[in-house]
Amino acid sequence: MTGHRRLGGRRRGARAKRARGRLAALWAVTFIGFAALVFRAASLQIAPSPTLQEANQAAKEQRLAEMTLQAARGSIFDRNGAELAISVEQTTVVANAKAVADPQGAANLIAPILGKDPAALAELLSSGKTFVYLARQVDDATKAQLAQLGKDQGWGFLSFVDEPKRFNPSGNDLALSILGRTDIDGNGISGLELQLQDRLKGTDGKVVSERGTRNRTIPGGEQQVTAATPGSSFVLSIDRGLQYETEKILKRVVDEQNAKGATIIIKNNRTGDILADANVVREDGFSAHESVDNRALTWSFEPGSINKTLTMAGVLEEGLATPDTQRIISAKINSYEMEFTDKGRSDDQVMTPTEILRVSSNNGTVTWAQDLGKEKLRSYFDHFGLGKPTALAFPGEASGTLRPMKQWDDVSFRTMAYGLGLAATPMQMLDAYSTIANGGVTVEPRLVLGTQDEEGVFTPVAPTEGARVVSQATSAGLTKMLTTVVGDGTGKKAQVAGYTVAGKTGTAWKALDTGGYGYPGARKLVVSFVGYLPASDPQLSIIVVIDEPTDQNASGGSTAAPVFSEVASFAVRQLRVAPDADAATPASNKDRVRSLPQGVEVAAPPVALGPPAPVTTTTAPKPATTTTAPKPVTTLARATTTTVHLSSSTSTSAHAPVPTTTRVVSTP
Amino acid sequence: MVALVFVSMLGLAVFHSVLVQGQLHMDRLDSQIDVERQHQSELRLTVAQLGAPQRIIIAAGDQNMVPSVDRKYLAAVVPGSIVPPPSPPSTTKPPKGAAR
Repeated sequence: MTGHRRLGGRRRGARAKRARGRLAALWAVTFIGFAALVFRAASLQIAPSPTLQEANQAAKEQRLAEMTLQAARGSIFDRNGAELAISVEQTTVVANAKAVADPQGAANLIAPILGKDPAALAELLSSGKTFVYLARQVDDATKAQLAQLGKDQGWGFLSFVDEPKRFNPSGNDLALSILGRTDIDGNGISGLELQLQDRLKGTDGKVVSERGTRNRTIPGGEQQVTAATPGSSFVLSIDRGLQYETEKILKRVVDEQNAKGATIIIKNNRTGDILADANVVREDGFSAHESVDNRALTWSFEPGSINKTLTMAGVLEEGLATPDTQRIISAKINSYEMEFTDKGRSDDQVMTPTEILRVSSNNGTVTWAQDLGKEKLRSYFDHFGLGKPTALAFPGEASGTLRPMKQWDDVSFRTMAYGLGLAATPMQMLDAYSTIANGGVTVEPRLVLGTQDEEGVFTPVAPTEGARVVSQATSAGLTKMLTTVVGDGTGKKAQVAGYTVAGKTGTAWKALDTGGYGYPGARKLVVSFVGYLPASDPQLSIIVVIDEPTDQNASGGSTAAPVFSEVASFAVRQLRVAPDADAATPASNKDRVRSLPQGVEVAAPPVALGPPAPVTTTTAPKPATTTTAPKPVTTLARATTTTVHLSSSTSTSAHAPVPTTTRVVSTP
Repeated sequence: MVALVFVSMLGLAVFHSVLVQGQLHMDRLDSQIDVERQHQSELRLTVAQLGAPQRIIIAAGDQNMVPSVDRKYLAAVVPGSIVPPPSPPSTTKPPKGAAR
């Protein structure tokens, strides 16, 4: 019994021992198995075979999706923060043509929604390409209609992609010539959209991420995000309301005159801000419309009589005369084979420089220009900015034509004195007058006031310093002279109720493509008026240029000056320019000026448009100084074989038409 | 040991599901941001279009508003100065060349 017990105990002990052994072995095998798996996993992760590496890479590439984050194009605002150009996401409709079972049937259903030709759509859908544009940048309603159609028809080939579209919310054509256009991809192709393209467009970003089914991001997968940098937004000097009104007036005038086109620029004399730059064109049989081309900067014309002021600026600055210096002005001036006359005047006449400008005498201007001399005259034209682009550096900007000194002969020198034989853009002529209005110091024009970031923080563009062209005294003298032009001269119709206006009329014949200026009754004209107000404290300079009015009797005084008056009247009200205290109110409008009751004190000062532009006095462009006193009447040899009749308001040429930057060569 | 492994694996699964849920939420937020951003730009465009001069003129015309045919000016004088006597009463005839 005891022996049996001992034997049984030994057996149980042996079984337990074997069981433990098996368990240990199982653990060992399991451990080794796990260890092998871990080792294998680790070896696959740490040092995979080249084949596996390739497979891994291929799988990853399949999972990785790159998506471009399109940078938002910057906006363009007017000076008061009104949007002139903004980009808004629109939907572009694309199709996988390979997946289209019935191209013609699908095209017939899609075409009415997109407003496209079914045949053209069918051709696209039959192309067999995996990506074709059906319509770009459609509105939300169209997208919704198409989406519903696709759902109803069970189409899988239609898809929608977001794309930014450029809008001009203030009016499709408002300030068109300034803003320019973008192409369908949002790249600037003209105007400021082109000039500022690099800064407006921004920098695209991208997202690279691992994506699974239904294009969902794989959690914990690779993801790299490079944020897009939005383009800068720009604040322009343009005043939207003023621009609109100016364009409206200009379109009406061009239609009334059956003119080819017209330009008006309004500039702040103190800051150089271009407040409005309206350009209108008209084709025969159609109404006038805004021009895509900024003719104020890209088109040049022979300025004619408005250039006389620049000649007189040199005369006054050189001390050859004062505004009131009397001198006999010949009825006829002979220069080589040319004879210059003033229309309506057959006798010599005593005239002052003021009188010469008031009646726009060509002979008076020529007489004084002869005393000034070629070199100095050209130097003054140059310093007033003729013959070179403005600081705007606008795309396609013209330089105008100011011939080199060696090409100035004795005849062209005289005609250039009154604006023939040279060409200038409307902006250049306005700048010249703006310089006079600003006390003789140039005020560079500017269209861009600064940039604005996403938070609305405005960073202004540093203003450029002006350079002195003529002295303050000369400037004041010229203003006085130009005030008489509007007060009682050729520019009477430019008067503005409540304001003194200084300005000058210009009427020019345009050169024909075939040469010459044509015959009376069939001539083409360019009429203009340029001036500034209030003359006692000039704040605004305005130029009006009307190209080819059909009325042969059109002139700067009768056609352009009234437009100046209308535009200026609106501008001073819109910009709250205070009337000048000594305003020579036009007689017809005197009763429209209302004073405050006698004895009332005024609490607030008049509103000013801004501080005066900085002045640099180190760049005086004064030519070599002479102290020559004004010469007496010039006597010239009469060897006349050709007679050129020059009216006091209309200048014709005794010279070859000046080459301009466009085919249009204008003159007066 | 087994329990430890089990708990670890379970924790890993929970963590992964939380991660997936979070990622889905982020994807939804991203697309919602895109939608709202687009909506904001559309509203901005609408506001700008409503403020366009041409539209305001049309809207004003619809309200029977017309441009003023008469304008009144106040004399500009230096603060503290005495204003000159008033000018003759205004007429209703608009000045030639008056802005519209």
